[in-house]
Amino acid sequence: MADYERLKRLGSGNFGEVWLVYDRALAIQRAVKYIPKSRITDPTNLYKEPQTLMALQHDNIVRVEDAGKTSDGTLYVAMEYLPRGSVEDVFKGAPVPLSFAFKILEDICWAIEYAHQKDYIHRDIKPANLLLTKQGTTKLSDFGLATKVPRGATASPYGYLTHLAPEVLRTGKTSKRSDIYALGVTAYRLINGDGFLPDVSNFGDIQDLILAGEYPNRNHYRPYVPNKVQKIINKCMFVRSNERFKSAKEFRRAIEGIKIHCDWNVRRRHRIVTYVTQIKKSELKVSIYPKEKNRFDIFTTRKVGKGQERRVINDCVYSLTLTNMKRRIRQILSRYVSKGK
Amino acid sequence: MVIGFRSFPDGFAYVILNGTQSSTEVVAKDRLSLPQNNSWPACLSWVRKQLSEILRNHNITSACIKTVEPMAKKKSVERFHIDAVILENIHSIKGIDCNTRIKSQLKRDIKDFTDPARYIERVLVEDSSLSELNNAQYQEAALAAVSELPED
Repeated sequence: MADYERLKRLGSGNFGEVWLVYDRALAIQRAVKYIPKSRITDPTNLYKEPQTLMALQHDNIVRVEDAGKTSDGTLYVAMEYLPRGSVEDVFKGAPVPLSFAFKILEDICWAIEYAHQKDYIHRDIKPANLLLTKQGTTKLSDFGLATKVPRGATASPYGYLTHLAPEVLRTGKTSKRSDIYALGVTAYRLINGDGFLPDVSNFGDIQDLILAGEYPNRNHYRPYVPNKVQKIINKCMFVRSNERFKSAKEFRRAIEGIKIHCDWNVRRRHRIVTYVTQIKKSELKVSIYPKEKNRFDIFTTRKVGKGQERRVINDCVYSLTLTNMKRRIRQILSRYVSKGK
Repeated sequence: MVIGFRSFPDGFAYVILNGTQSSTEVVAKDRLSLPQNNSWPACLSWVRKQLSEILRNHNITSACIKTVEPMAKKKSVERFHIDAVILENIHSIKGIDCNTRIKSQLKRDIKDFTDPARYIERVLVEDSSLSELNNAQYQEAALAAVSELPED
């Protein structure tokens, strides 16, 4: 029995609780997951999760360090402690800067590729299960629902409802392609933030929207997200599983091939929305000014010296209707992201 | 199973072969491009990751890199960096000392090739199993791999 002193509760869920503990024997901190006997998913093998993690040792998969049973029969799984927490803890549903979102996705693709190669499917890919290290790399965690399936076979349905692939809802079977779908929904949530998800709380309605390919909305992206990025993410979320990327590797290669020149930040002041970025050490601002009669002006300025700004004439447009303003702002912002000018 | 590499300023190509120099089988090949968003050190780390994956999936016993010719007019520093990462990583993971060869050294190590070293790619034309590798992407990686195969 390990000599752990519980320091802080890090999280809880259906599975049980995760605690930050101090391992007195080795004088280090660990994250320990406590799973009551009644909540163990596979009663034939109590140690399924730690054994899965042990079989999947990879730079982008959280490391298991110990496992066992407490005196009252509760299962514990001790893992490395990553103090930054999950992507969800850090960004709290807000959009992640595009270049960092890509970095997270690339890291997770490596982890999923590795797990799939070893015939494991994760079945619970979501931002809350992506942990950030101090160095800025991301590790996939929570293999409580992961299972080993023979090549080409499927497994029973588990997972986070909004990340469940349509075929899982329809046939009740999960596969590597359903992991790719969950990865796509994760990518969508990272890039757009949770505010872009359809506002539906009813279980049945969400299910219907997923089956129709409308959850998440594939046409609704932040204005600065280039079309080719949208296409890649939408390809992960195709309703027909055979139209999705064949593997996490294919998805990773697609995102590795895209150059992101800048990350836009949004600022809102009164009714003026301003997108700000840094390109080649100079600050660029694109502001939307509402005018009378539902008309809008777009001003783009570049910082040229201390307190001095110069208008970028080609990207200043006046008196646009709402639809035209949206179209134009999308063109301007995504052009800077994909071309840098 | 042997592997041959050829680095490019924007990535690297590898070819995995099995058999002997007279009877060759192509096991795997790929041309990998560096990620567009990464800094240069991050790209080198990416090379290491890719290499780990290749070495995990194939039982490699010998390796060779077609390195930059000393006479080359343009010597890409990026290629030297990538070559160095490959050399280090193969040694760390497999304990293999990866060879580095230029064209004249490839000629020396490929049996029965008598033409001048600058025509070394003819080796690929003569062997039907290797003819698919006779293109700018794979040519030199394939020759590096052939030079590592046993003669018979």
